[in-house]
Amino acid sequence: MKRVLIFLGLGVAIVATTVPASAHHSFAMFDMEKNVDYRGVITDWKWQNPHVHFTVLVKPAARVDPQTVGTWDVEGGSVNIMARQGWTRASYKIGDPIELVGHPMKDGSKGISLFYAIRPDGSRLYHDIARPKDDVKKDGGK
Amino acid sequence: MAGFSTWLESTAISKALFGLSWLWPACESLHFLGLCILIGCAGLLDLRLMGFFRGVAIRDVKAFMPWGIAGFCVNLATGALFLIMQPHLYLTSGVWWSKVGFIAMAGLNALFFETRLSGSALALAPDAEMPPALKIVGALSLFSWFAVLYCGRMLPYLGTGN
Amino acid sequence: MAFFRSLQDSAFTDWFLGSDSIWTYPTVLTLHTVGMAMLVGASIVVHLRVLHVGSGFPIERLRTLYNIIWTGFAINLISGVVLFVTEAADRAVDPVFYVKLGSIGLALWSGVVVKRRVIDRVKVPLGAGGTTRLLSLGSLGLWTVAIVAGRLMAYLKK
Repeated sequence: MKRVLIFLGLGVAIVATTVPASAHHSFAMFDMEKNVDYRGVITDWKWQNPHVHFTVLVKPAARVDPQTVGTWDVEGGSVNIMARQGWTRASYKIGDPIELVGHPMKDGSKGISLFYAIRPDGSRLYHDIARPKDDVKKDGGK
Repeated sequence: MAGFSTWLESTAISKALFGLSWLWPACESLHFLGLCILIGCAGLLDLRLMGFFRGVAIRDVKAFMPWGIAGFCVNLATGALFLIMQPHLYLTSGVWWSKVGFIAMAGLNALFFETRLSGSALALAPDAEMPPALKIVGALSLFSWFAVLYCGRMLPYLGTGN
Repeated sequence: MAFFRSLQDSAFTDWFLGSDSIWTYPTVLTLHTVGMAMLVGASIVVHLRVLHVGSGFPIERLRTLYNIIWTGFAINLISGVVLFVTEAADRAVDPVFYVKLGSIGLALWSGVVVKRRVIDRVKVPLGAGGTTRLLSLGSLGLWTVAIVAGRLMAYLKK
């Protein structure tokens, strides 16, 4: 009888301590109001469900917005939805240059929620069906 | 719909709720718990109407329904919150509207049972054979709730827009 | 650990997670949800009955629900293994994953003890009456923990 209660109590205690600790890292938010243009190079490419992830290295340069400099973890949508927007596994690979528009993290950490990528020919690869309300500056921003 | 969705997402309430970083994941957990309670309790009644658990009075199976309804209410509330926080994921999605359609189907089916068949169902002897009407109502209900589950879970993969 | 890494980096994982077909990852994930609805839904009914909801329902008829419980568990064991393989290295070191598995194990165990006590009427060395209700209450709590842990895992993906 006591053993049962101890087991259950242990279980609850484990959760109680785990949840707050992990929650600190897990639920960070993107600033969905901000559309920021990033120009860099793909340093990692994960074409996989449930979310496509890739990292982009933005190097400092004359016309590059300093706020976009750094290595960013970009999160996209599901493989299925992105494929419907024209993305494929081969859309980008490590070493490719990329220009993208996305929503950065509110807390300043280097994460981006992908809005759309801009192909060399100027066409856009959206992550989903949502479209921009207004254009974003493409000259590096000020 | 797209216009309404954009407006809704621009409101203070939408931004305030979505800005609470813990709220969305908490709603997801509650939504999953709610569906388990709902499918458990409603599923039990559906199975009884389909003829399983023969010998058990329908009255004694219906006694679990208040809990099933509570589960549904949790999901209605969390569902409304999802809709307010991120309407663009749902309002232009054929999959989401199908989910709503299946919920309506389950609801209308339940209403039909309550208003037209419940009296005679409760009067049946516990070990009586279930009449075809009750079997159909039970099967339709069970199918509907699993169709709701399917649409909900597949939405991020089947598409948020058409 | 190298074994888990080889699973996560395997050609199967690459194909399974990278396929844009709805029949791979999305279907397995949805089956996992169906299994959960069966496993936890039926368990909730069992434990509600033990806690005196629907007290007219003959308690020994709850035996049928255990077929649904074990079928749901089987679906989730299979789909769960497939999903685990695709993130084996990340999950092997994820405490929340172990909380999920542990709470599922304890919840299933308590469900079996409840069955033996009130449905099979087998003597077990744990007493009677109030203890069974406590086990059912605990089981409900453990299923809640399992579901929350499962959701949390999605937010802790690498």
